[in-house]
Amino acid sequence: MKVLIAIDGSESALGALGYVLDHQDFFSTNPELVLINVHLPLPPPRANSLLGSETYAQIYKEESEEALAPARELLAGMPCRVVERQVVGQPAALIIAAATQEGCDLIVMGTHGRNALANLPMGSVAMGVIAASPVPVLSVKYESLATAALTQSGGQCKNIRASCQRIERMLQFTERLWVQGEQWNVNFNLAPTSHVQIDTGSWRSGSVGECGDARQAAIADHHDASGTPGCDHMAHFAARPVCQSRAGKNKNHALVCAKSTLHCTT
Amino acid sequence: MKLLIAIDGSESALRALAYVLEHKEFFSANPELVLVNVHLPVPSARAKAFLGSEIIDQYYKEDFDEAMAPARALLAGKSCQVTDRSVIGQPADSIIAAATQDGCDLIVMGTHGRSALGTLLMGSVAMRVIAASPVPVLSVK
Repeated sequence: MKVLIAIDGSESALGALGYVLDHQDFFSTNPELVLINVHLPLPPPRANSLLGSETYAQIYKEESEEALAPARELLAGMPCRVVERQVVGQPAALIIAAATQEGCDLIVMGTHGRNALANLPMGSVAMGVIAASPVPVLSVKYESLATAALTQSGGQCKNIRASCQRIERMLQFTERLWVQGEQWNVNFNLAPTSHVQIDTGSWRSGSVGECGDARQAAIADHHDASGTPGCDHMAHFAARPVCQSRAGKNKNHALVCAKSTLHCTT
Repeated sequence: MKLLIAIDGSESALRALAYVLEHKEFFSANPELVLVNVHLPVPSARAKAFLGSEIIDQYYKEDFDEAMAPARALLAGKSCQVTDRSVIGQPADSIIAAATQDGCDLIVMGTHGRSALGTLLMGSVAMRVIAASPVPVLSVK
């Protein structure tokens, strides 16, 4: 199975990629990924003659590389076959063209890319692709990603080790969304099983005080998890971290800034 | 793995169902299907009082069976675990609510349902579900 993922450097696109990586068990075979970055053409042909096509090509290349870099980081160490494509033109049309040319079975994309206005229901590129693509499109809404994936990692997992790996990956992914200087509250709600320990010693953050609080919160939650709503059906769960953004910060984003290592003790 | 498929009796919805059935090898385990048909509520409370709720329920039931019939035909003889649900309400909201309540991993739907204008890029229900659903949406043209 071959999946095309449109990457424009936005959090939404990374979220879509993260979703696929986090739900590989949905697919019967390890899917082959095609990452595509479409760069809009630089405006007038006159600028082209002025700057020279080499400079143009350089700009396209640099910006596409920049957009793809976080995706590569996310994929580092994953046993995935990945092909990358960098093209210049109209995004929706080129995403569809690449998917059909490469014989992809599925296009995966975020609903709000780089140029989307936040209060529109979805970005114009996502809409254009969904409306015109002969290849089915899986749209992943970014704001739901962290919570959905984390619930998934704790909730649906039969195997503790896999669950840990998935939680870890999720943390690695969300970690990049943290901006230096920002403060976050991080909560882990742990089920009252002792299969999993969170090694809080390896948390890193630019704001130590905040993280210290979060660490205590994590430990506190661990102790009274039985009283936490939703924990009654967590008996067979390994862990269910719930990440919450700082109060007053954009509520659409559920993020963590902490690096955490999970150890299996069984 | 559990998939919700929105069925409104349109060609587009059937194509979405057919896509899932034809591509079951994509999914690791044989997916469990939840077919949901959403019927808009009969407009005024007065109509309800006038006709009586039995007649209205009957009307909903008939429409439900009619919308489901082609989907059921498509599923006949297939080894799938299928449940179907009839919901009365606003389509997009009801589809999202059903998906979250049933713990579905994915919503599958056609981009042009029953009341979509053919010339629009996509139907209003598909657009609203994609925009508002916390569950990822697979749209099939």
